Amino acid sequence: MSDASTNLHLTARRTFGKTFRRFARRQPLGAAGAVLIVVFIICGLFAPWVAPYDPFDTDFMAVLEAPSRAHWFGTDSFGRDVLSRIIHGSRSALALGVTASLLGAAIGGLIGVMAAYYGGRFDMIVQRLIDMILSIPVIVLALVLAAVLGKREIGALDLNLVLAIAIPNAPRAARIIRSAALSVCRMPYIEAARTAGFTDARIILGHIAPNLSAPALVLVTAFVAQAILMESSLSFLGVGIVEPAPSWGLMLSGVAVSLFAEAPWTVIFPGLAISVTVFAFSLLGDALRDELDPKSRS
Amino acid sequence: MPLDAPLLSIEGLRVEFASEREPVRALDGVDFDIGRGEIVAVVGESGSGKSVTALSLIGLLPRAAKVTGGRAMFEGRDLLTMSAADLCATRGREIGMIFQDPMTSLNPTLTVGFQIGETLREHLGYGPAEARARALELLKLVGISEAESRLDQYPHQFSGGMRQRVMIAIGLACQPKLLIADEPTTALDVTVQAQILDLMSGLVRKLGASLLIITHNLGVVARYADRVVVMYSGRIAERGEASAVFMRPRHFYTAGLLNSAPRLDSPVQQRLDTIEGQPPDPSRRPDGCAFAPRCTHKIAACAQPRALTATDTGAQSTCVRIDDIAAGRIRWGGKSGAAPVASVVPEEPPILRIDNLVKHYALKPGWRTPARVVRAVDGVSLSIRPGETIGLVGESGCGKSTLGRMILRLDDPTSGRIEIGGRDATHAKGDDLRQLRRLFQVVFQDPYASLNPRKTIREAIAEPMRVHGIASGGRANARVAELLEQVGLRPDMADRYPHQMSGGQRQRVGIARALAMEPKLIICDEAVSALDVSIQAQVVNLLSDLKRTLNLSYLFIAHDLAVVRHIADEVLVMYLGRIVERAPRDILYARPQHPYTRMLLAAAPSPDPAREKARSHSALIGEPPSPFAPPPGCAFAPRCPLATDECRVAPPPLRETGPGHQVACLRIDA
Repeated sequence: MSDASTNLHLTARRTFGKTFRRFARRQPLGAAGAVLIVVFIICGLFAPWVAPYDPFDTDFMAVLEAPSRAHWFGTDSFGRDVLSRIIHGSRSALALGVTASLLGAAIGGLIGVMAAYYGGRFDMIVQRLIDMILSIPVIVLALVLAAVLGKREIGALDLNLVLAIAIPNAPRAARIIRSAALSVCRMPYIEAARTAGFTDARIILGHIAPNLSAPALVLVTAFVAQAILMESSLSFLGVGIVEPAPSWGLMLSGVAVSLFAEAPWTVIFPGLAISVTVFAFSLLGDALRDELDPKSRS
Repeated sequence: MPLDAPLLSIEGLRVEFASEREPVRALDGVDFDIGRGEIVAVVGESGSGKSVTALSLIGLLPRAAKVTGGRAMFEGRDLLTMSAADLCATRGREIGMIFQDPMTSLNPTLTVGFQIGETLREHLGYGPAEARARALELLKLVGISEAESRLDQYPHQFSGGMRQRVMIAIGLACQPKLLIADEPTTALDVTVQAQILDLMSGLVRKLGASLLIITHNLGVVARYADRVVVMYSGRIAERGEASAVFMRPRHFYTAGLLNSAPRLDSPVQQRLDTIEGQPPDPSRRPDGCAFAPRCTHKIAACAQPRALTATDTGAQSTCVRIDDIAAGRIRWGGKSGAAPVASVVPEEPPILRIDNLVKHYALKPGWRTPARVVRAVDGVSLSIRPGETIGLVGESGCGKSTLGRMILRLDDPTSGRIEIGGRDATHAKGDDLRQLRRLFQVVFQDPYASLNPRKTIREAIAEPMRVHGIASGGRANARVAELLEQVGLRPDMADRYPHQMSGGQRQRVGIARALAMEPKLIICDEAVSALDVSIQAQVVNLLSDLKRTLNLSYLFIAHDLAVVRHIADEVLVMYLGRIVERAPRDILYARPQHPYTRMLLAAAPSPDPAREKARSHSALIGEPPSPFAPPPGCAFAPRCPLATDECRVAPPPLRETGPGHQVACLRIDA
């Protein structure tokens, strides 16, 4: 509640630092995940200052150099610094991964909750539509969407690429959220909300949705990984991020793979960046799921 | 070993549950014996440790629980320290077990015959043919007709009562020396409950086994138990012969519990006696008498622990004031109130009127089943005037909850008319319906599921007020505090989440939420049936008080005739979608006419051993027919001792047999 008087009943307003320290004590792994994500975000935001080199600078005197003091993560086939490209690449990876997964889960989740809440013919039609979409391989659908939508960039973020990645994931989210919502919709407290004369929107968003935060968080964290990987596939297929722009996905695909035997660092480090990011998100997601459950609050 | 030694002897049993802070002592020294061929009941409210006691005996405690002390000597062996292999050989073979919910304790993918035979194959090494033959015998023994064909059926083809019979057959298959039944009839209807208990106790006596019944139902204890152990907060309050403990309780908890149970045979009074407060949190249990904080007669000595001490009745009690109770110097005195006052104003138009309401569910044809129609509610009319309480009584599946849901407009009626506050609400939609909803609210059965776990109590109560523009901001907060006080909670509880409250407190929150809308009518759908006896009495009293101060009307839907008797002005009895009898409260309980009403009243157990042991239950037969295939005439005819051919032709209409008394039975003379 936003009423000022409500706060009088709380013992004290907690500062962010206190809240985080409490969170860290109860969920050390989740806090580690959160720290990692913050580090990546800072790297992305301040990339030009953090990165030791310009990510576009080619140096044909230093092609495919192994990690050294000058190039911590080595250089690629154009002699560009891998570390700098990873740092710059975290911008698009995070912005794209997080927005696409949130958007996909939100669209799908909303459809899923509505299908569960209204049931009947609406549910039936939605489910058959989802069946149809699910029969198309995710990457094909994303490819078509990306090709049809074209590019619409806002800063470093291609909005249409976000949509192309989010929409194919939405049906999966709808399925998972629908099944979780079915049991919530049958709870007496939802019927109590109906008898209190609440509107459907209020019931769906205010009463059902908060009870679905556990599956939704797991879903979003799983989608972040998928979104980053999908971006790399799309980039490889030529509809995503285009060379020479730094992208983790691009670094993992194309020529780099064929160079794996002689210059493994060009593949291992961007791969590690993706794994660590995904890992950090799932740690944070699991911790948040436990923490957001009012039963775990003392 | 001498034959007169007890079969099972529990000494100083202690069980702890791991928790984030220090471990919680769920059982704090429990001692009692079970003799050979004896029926012992362990009674207590939820959290008293009665189920933990049973589970620790058969090694089925949840993972977080640990036995930290004591012995349970069964035939010279300690069940608590037995190896896993020995325990497996003992469970099912020497100790049979029957659980509460017959719907989930049978495996739905295996035939009933297989499940009965499995115990025999496992423990006695029977071959398939032998096991089948013995399973058939057992099915006949537990009174299942057409046992031969029933053997190959699956659990879903059996009714709840039938499944519990199958569970008894499994429990008794190896002729165990001890049968443990944990709330065996709690999930069953009252007429079925009596049959199952009769069967179980009869069989146990016949086979010479011992029976340990775990229950919260005092009537069950009074009817069947030889000895009773009353538990409170992980300890024994009193134990002894059932007749002694019930007729002359020597612990204030036993006395208070007996007093707060609504009864069919006590004088009707507006208020029930209650035990105020609630059981202590086991992690903060007092060292002395755990009941002292709720006891109206506590003295300084109650702070010291007292061992079980012999009383004048031959029982043992831990109460410090045994001698004072025995001498009659003090008695448990709850707050009883005045006789019922007629609060109904006859001239006022009814707040709710329903006319010939029907709800049919059409079931689509299945692979092997034809299309069917379930007549959940089949033409029910009633009206409730301001300040009036109508009790709607019936067993599960009779359509009473569906009727409630239609009035709440959670389900749409197939036909008929609902009028609320003089306005047609049958098909009201959108804003119309939203406005009507301010007139009627609901209190649900399950206090755990009826509050949103993600919302604080304040949000739960204030949100309806804000949405309907009744109050907002500071005024809403003030109103929340006022409502919480009105339902007997502290206003500072407003910022708690539901899981931080007990079942009874949550039910009070549910009532406060309903009151927030300032409704004229509250539909209580089994609103007190999930609560413990002492808490139930508190909530029933609260509802009657609110009714008087706020001039509310209730539709009180329940299966428990004794509770309805304490709150309703008029009672309607429902059977398979129809009203079979309606009468003012006093008339219905004094002179019930429909054979079904009489059967319900006969089946309801009462906590009075003398009365219970004296009465016969031969009149109880059968179970409610399936609503898929109701009999053509009177739905009750197949179970009715008075039924004739005429009854099986068409459903009898309700006829007036006295002032305000209507009965749907051809065999009752006006």
